[in-house]
Amino acid sequence: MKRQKSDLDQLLREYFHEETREMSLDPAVLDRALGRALGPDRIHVETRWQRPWRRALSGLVGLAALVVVGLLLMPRHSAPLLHSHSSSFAAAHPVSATGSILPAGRVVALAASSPVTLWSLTYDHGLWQLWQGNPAGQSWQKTVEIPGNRREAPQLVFSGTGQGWLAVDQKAGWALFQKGHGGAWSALAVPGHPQQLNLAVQHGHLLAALSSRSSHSATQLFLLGGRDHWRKVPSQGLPGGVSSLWFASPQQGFAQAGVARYTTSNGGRTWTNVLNLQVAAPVTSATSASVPAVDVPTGGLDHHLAILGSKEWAIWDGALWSRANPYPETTWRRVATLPFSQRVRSLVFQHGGQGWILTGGGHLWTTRDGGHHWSLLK
Amino acid sequence: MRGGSGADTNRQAAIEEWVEQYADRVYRLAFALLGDRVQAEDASQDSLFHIARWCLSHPAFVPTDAWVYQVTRNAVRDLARRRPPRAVPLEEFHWVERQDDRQVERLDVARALAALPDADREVLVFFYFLDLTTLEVAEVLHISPTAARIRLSRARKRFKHAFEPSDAMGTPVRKEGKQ
Repeated sequence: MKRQKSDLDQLLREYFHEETREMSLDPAVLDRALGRALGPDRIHVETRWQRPWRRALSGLVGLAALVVVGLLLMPRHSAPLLHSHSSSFAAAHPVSATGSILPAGRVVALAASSPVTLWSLTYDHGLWQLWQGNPAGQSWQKTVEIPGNRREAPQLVFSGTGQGWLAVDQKAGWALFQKGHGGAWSALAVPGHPQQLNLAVQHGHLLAALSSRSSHSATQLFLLGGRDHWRKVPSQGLPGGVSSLWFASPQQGFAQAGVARYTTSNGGRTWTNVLNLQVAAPVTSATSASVPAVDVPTGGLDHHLAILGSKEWAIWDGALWSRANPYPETTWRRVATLPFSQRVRSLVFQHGGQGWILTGGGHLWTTRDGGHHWSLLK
Repeated sequence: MRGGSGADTNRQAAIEEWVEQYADRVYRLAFALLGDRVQAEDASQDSLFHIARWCLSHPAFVPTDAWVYQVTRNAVRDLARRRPPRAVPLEEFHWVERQDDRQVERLDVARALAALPDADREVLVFFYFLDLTTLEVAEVLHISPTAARIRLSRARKRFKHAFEPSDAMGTPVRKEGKQ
């Protein structure tokens, strides 16, 4: 049977997507690339025959090192955490380390829907898994399992009043799910077929920003109303390529597109470019000050920043910093030196000074005094 | 917050994050272009290395998707120049004992793609795998939009010509007049 052009298009698309569907780069390859780039100038290209021997030798050396380190450190596991700055916050009540374990798979995001409920998003062999846990991270329950191709990082936002939304980039496009007050997650239609989708909560309602990846196009805003009906919000001045969107109040909002930051003071109707950062730092959604804010990493540097109302926190040079307002800019103040050196994946703050940090490797740290003292939940 | 060492540390952390963010995409693109996982790993390592080094030496630079695709394409081309094309042994095709049409079809697609010139395979990968528009393909390949459309049309025709479905016994169906 002679193939039509559309058959051929579908054949090729399906072939490529099926062949690469669950492919993930070996972390060792990534580490070697970074090691070459950040190390000496000489390029060392490892030949294939060396790999098995190198891996075997690395395994033996690693095992021996673990034994030695374990023997040396075992008596010291209860040593107090170090912190270098006192603060104006009340002294923290020590949080005892518990035996919590983070969910399986690669943990890529951490969020809080309330002071008592944590959420973590993991990626494992082509599946996004959403886990619900208690603040101590002691127990986690898998709530949602959704296939995705990881073209874009997922979006996870909570209203603070029992509702939540999750957007996942799949082969066929973005898929949207919402959590009702009862706890069950259900599918929700996306208003269009965007290349990029960003979620934000505005005055308790879900706002979706739809755009292409090109900054030459415009971003469109849609507000989710009753009976799951989308209403387009007239909006001007927000280009495509938006990576983050959040509202500090029903009227005051911020958006990040590349290195450019935009702000609105009329609920999203008009946007103005107010800031160009030295390094692109997409930040995350936040709700109004009356409901808990949620830190939703969307990849890149998002996890270095958290927002609660108009207050911002950032990880910079191994320390936690905060400022009262991102625009107009106020001075950053150093809060505390962090008691670890691993890369930060997520930074979350709630009202009352409670916060969490998820580091590379899946370690979870918590604070009860606005970030001045941190305890490890491992 | 603009101190030298602090800014350097943050820049390096940013670069690490970008590289990690693009790692899987680079790997899948390299595999789609090369059809071989081991070679795709090597090309990915080179590509991610170049991305990191460029970002390190250009402090104001922020990588875009199109730029990353270009770097990956170049890494794949460099790898192909260093190594001869890998001949796929016949036994790897595993002419299936049970007649799974879908598996046979996928093998035929792989064979047809492998038979194409690199330039044709590239444009098919960018269009069908990355879902780029012809405008975006033109940007990645540094050619005009018209040239991209022409190249895509030509690649489609060549792929269609190379793609011959096998019969149920696994014997390639040949056109009349050929051996």
